[in-house]
Amino acid sequence: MARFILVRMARTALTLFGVVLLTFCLGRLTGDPIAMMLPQTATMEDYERIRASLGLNEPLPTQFIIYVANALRGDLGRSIVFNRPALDLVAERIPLTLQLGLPVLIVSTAVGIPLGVMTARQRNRPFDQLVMSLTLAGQSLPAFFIGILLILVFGVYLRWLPTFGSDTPAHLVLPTLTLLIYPLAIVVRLTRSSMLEALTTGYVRTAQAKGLSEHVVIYRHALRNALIPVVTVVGLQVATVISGSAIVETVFAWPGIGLLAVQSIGGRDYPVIQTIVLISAAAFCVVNMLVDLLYFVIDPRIQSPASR
Amino acid sequence: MTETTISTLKTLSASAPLPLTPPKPRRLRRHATVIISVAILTLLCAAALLADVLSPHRPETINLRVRLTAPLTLPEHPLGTDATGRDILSRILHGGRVSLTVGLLATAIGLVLGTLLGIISGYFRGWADEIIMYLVDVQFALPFVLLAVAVSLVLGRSLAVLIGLAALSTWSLYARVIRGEVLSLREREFVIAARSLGASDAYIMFHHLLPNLAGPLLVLGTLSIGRIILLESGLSFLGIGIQPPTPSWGGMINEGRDYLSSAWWLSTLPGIVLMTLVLVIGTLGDWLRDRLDVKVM
Amino acid sequence: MLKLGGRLVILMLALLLGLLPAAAQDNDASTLVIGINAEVLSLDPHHVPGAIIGNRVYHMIFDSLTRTGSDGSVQPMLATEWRSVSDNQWVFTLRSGVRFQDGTPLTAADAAFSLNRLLFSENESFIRSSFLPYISSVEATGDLELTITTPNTDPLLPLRLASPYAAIMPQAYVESKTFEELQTAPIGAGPYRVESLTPGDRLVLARHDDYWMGQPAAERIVLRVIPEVSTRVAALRSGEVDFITTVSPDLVDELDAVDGLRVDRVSVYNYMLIYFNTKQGPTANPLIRRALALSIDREALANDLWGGRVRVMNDYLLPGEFSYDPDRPIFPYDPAEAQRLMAEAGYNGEVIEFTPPSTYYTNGELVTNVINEMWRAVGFNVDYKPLDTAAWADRSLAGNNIATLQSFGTAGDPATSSIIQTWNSWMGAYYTPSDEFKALAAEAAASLDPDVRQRNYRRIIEILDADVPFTPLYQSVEFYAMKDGIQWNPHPEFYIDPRPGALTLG
Repeated sequence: MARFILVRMARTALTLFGVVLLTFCLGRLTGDPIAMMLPQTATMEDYERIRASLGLNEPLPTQFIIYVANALRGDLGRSIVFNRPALDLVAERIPLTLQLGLPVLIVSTAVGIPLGVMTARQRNRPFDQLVMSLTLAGQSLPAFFIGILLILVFGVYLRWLPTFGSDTPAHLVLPTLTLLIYPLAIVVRLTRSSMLEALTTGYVRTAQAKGLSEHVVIYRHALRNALIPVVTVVGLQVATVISGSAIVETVFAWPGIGLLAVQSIGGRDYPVIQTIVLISAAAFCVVNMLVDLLYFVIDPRIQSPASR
Repeated sequence: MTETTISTLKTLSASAPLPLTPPKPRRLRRHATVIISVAILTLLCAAALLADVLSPHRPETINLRVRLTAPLTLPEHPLGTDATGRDILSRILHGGRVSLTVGLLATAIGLVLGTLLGIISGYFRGWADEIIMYLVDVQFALPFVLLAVAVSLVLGRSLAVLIGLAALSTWSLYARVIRGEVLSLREREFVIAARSLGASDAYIMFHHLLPNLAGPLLVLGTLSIGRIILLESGLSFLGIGIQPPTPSWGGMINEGRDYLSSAWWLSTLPGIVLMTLVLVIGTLGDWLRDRLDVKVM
Repeated sequence: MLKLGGRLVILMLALLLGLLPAAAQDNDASTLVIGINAEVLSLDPHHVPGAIIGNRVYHMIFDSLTRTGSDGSVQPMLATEWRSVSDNQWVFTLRSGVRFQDGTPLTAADAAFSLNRLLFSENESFIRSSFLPYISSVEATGDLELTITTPNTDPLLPLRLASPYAAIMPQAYVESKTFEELQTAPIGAGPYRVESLTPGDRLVLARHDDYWMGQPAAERIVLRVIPEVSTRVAALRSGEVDFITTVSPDLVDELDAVDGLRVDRVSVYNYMLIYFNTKQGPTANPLIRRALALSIDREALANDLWGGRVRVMNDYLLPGEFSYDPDRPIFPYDPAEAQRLMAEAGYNGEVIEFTPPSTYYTNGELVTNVINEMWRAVGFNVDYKPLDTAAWADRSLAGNNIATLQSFGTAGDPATSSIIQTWNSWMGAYYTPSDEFKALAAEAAASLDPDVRQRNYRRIIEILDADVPFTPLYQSVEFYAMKDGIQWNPHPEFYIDPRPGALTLG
């Protein structure tokens, strides 16, 4: 186990390095933030002066080494657009993104898995078909379409819920609903599919033959076996939750990480982009490690990492 | 992607004796749904292929005098016009080309790549696993928008670039899910048995593992076609989708974003077409999945 | 399982909701809630990136030495009078009894410190380049006397200092804070002080009770960032905000029809245009440029895409600007003449790259789409490639555009207009004015004689007519929607003026 965690930590460090290097290069490939922010009267000399003051006229490898050296000391640079430390900008938005993302994660798992089991048991009955069709239909509408529609219905016509912002619990309802559609669908559908498979495997039938109750068979044996793909996908959803949803955050004026990420990419605000990527990558690696550990818990037949 | 899935399934039914599920009481109605779905899918593909013949107008032609005409008000624009007076029907027909090509091809590429890497990763574990999962982690942690902006600036905004980007956005999910499944499958009795009988790794991967992955693959694949077409909508939102004025469903849905309350048809009509496509493909996917219920032992 | 799951969900949700802050009190009668379209990047006007959005708040927090009235005249603010004491020196007398929001009195030292910070502080500034060519030094020469030295004779200095970026701040306060702190919590002498800032979400401004002009009407102004226009409109309709900026033109009719709401249109000191590359590509030929300009049906753009709510340009200057000619006919649309010019130029299907920014300007995507089709209709082989804003700015700066969409602004006088100034900047890569043009501009800028200035500017316009380095389209407008009771003075410089008398809540 200790070895597994050590190996994973090494991989996490490597992943972070790879992601930061890629982000660094991709960011610079997309061009320069200065041109966009200069007033129309600015000359090429102004441009060069500001470029130099931001250290952008150094050769790329030098810039990268400086960045990494500073980052190791905890200095992730200053936002070019906001003139503030990049880490502050990102940190102040993390709680908002989590407020939106965690309910989505919890509901999609806690509702999605039981719903998947129910549809599997009622396979091809009206209930199953209804849920299957709904989960599909939701996939075909873009988040902004659903979001604006919900705002118009519940915010403008019915006046039941606020249209935008993140002040009160009521503000949470519409964006959460909008965000929920995709993860819920994928969890329901994967659970259903895996359940159908698991219900036909040998050991479930053995369990049935041993005369265990249906409840025990389904939840103890079949579901456990069916959970592997679901756990994987939920783990990956955590990643999306951390990096936020730019479109939903834009539509509901919810100033989270997703909105900041898209703004920063649009504004070529390299230090902020790199900080967001660094934080979400770190969180992602940790979650993925937990998912791999969960595999062994769910299915003990998978060679335990310690024995490797 | 339909081709890929079907060929995958053919390999599978040819190789291992896989008992299909016993007939279900609703089989007849199920068949009708499947036939209707196939018919609609054919129709959508045919309409996209024959867009030049079927369209009443050139999809780029602007006519400011009839801009924002509602559907069913002008005979020459049966589905109405958009904010520059372009014919919605013609744009939906032509948009199908881009959207279907991107949706189907990118899903297929992503699926093949992801499945292959996922199986290798889960089956061999060790270094192959470490490297492939490293790539998956990097891909997941990297903001897709950044990648899309950089790639489209360097390589331009062509259809091929769009397909490549969309495929890149999906393979890692497949790889990770498939790997998880394979980790569990490779310890099952039938794989262990095959291995002890001296079956080669490739044989085990393709004849024993792949058939058992049909379920999750179909679920993810069917869900992803709609997502990818919508991804294109998201890219248009950022100004890096398919080059305007070339129409695409995703682009059209995005263009109508500010008009949801004043000219609903701009987003809604291409949205309905897309929803139909997603429902049809989903229905076919579910049907295939159920037909191929794998009983392993 | 379902039951357990359900309970778990409820429990977790309850926990999460508990973490949320209590409802903010935005909606009492003395508070004005404004929904704006984009975040104000920094509250430090001296160091803000050159985005126009800053104008929306700087006028609420800060005063400058002067300001431009809605008629374009220069009005006293923190300076009560100014005179030019020599060819290159101006002396400004400051208003006495003005207090900053922290209670300290305004002195010439504060003013000198602020302008020097804008121009020369060690932290680089994007906006600085708009002032550096015109100011050599700023000194306090008395308690309330400020002396500014300019490199050349410059009658327009008082107008240049009307900019919100030339805001005056208290020296002691600024020196006691770090640069980063000042980005979110500055202090000025304006009508409102910063009470709190939640980045990306809201800026709460509280009334500055000692404001020298008297007490502003609203006790608080809350600026909420709502990037999506549909959401902004919904928030106004539901009553969550009182006032919104940047309504898209196709939503104006819909909003105007709502009971209790109205839409105000403000023509700004800014117009849209297409500029050409006169140095490379097919557009190096003036005949081609003229043909491209002639094939744009500007009235169709204005009437159909803007509902007739924008003014089609007839001159290179704007109404209210010195020497503007109201009798000049609008820029002509003549496809037949365009085709004749194309034949004369020997145009043979050479590709004309058209690379506008895709989302930067309101309605820009629709407008360029239509222009692309108009050019194709007369036979130009256009390669229409809308770019994302940063890529477009990069390409523009590198001198690589052939034709693109842009706006030109003015501070209210031709000498400050982009049509004269912009060619000294990176835009010089696209067009080099003749020596005559430069001499006329220099003479007019230094002259106080209206006849000389009138004559020179009109002659420059003749040169532009002949060279066609760019072609104007229509004057930019900004649509604001608000609750019926609100009265305000729209200003052509993009801002909402909350000062006493300018805004009442009704």
